[in-house]
Amino acid sequence: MNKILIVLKKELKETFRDKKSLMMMMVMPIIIPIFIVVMGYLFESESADSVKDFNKIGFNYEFSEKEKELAKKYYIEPVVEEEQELEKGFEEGTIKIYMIKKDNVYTLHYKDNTSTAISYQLVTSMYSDYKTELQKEYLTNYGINSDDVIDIIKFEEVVPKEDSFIANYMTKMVFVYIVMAITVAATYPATDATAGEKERGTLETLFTFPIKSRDIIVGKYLSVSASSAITGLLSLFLSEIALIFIDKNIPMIHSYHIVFSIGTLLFMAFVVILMSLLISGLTITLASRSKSFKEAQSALSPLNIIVMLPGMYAMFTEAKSTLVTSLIPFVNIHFIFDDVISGKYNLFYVFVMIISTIVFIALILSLIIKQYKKEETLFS
Amino acid sequence: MLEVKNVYKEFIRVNKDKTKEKFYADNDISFNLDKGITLGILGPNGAGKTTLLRMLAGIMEPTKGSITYNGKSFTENEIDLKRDIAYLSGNTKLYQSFTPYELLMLCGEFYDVDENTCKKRIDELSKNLEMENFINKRISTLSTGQQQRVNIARCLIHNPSYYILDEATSGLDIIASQIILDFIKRERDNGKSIIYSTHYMEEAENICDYIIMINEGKIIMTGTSEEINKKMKTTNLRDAFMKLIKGENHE
Repeated sequence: MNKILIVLKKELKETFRDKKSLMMMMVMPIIIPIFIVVMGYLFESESADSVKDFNKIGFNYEFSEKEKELAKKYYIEPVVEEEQELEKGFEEGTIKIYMIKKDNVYTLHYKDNTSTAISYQLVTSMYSDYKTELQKEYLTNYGINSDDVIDIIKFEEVVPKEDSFIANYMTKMVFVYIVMAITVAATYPATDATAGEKERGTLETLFTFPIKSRDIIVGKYLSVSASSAITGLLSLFLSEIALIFIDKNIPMIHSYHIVFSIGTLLFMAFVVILMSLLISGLTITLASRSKSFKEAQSALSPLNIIVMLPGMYAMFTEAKSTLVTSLIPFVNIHFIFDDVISGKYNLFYVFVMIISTIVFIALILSLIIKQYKKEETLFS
Repeated sequence: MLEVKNVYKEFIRVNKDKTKEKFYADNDISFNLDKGITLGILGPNGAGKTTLLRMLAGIMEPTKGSITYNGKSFTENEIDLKRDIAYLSGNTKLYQSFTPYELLMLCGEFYDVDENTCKKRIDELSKNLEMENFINKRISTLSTGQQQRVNIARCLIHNPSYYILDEATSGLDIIASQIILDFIKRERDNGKSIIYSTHYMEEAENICDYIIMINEGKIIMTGTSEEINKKMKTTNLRDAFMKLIKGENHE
């Protein structure tokens, strides 16, 4: 059997028999879906609270049956009082917004700030609908088909998915956490297979076998990559299940279409494998230079933050892929993922990202092989 | 035959004042080793024994000089040569999550021993080294003596011609040490060449056919134990060595 495969088999056996390695591989795939579900419910609860706080709107008249129906539709809780009382409440801040009706004129009083934005949206939507209903009634009374007049032009709104903050936030967050899971899952086996093996005294034995140092380190690298890819793919699969769950159980979330499509999932699975190969290469490079397990862990700690930073940046900005960003490792993967989920991706940039990542993987691998021949790496 | 010619190994030492200084861990080492001979490499800690043995096992490269087995060097024939060598040191540890059986099968794969032959050898070794009771138990659960037997079985699985044993009895109790010493005698009788480094002079006196004494990286004396004692006018190798390093009767 190929010597690389023998080393790979040996490393995988050790990894899957080591409780700590298994825990590192499984902890993130379990945490991520729990986090998604909790986030979904928190968002629903927070949004409901926001509406509750701002749906108390003042009116100086009693609603008609039609208005009552519409108010219910828009979750409006009318506070009916005299104009002076409403003015007083508005000044004191107990009412954020109120409507004064005099004859056929409806005057809305509000302060133009973010705290009244939802109230304003609710009340203007309600009166727009009410106005349309009255127009329809009027025209019908004169024997005119109201739809011909009211809908004389069709007005439709298309809100691109990328503009939906919650959908963006949730899906980008899932990807950032999957990348984090890959890094965490690569860190421990990489440390254990290199610095750990050196510290335990088994590395010297391995080097006495008739096997090239290149085959040893490539076998170790493939084993770490396999561990992190398994974690990444498992995280992706369980995250998709969590997204389907909140999509089905939280109506507010359902409208945002946050579940990944099959195409996006396949793309993400491919990206997860690429990221696993890249991150495992980096972790092995750093860990194999360390003299002890502890030193390797210290060296690898910053990597967890470094791989997440581009994802965090992409999560909170509207940054889009360019040729330059497509060339930079980690940055390219996060940015292109954003493009893919928004449905506006450039195939050329995707291709550049794949080639760039493969080139970096090859460079790291050649560095590891070169470095692993040196006696100071092995016997320091 | 193993031929070691003018081997040097240079390292860089970092001093307390953080200045770097080059030094030779092994300095102009030369010797030959024929079949069926046990060669003892004797010297105190830090004499350069481990470095020398690592170079002989092909896990370190000499800075200068040559090491050849039957005329072949590691530079061109690393894999072939390592297939015919077994290396065991006091620091050699085993994969704790494996069972002895799994470990020996793994070693067999590394040494290209075919599966059926490997299984037969494991059966034989298991009987000869009395490992039957723990052959399928995790190594982490075994005693030091049992682990040492597994280590010996590891060296025997590919039936090598050369054994390189570095301080193999260091830190072991009398029973575990005896297992190693019996193994050396048995393999020498089977015509194998053994290089045995130790700082236990009495042990070397008992089992080694030929002795090389080194100190501070240099060979300070060679010969059989009788020859060395005769030259140094001593009755044992310990006294001979002490005389040598004190320069009372330097060769």
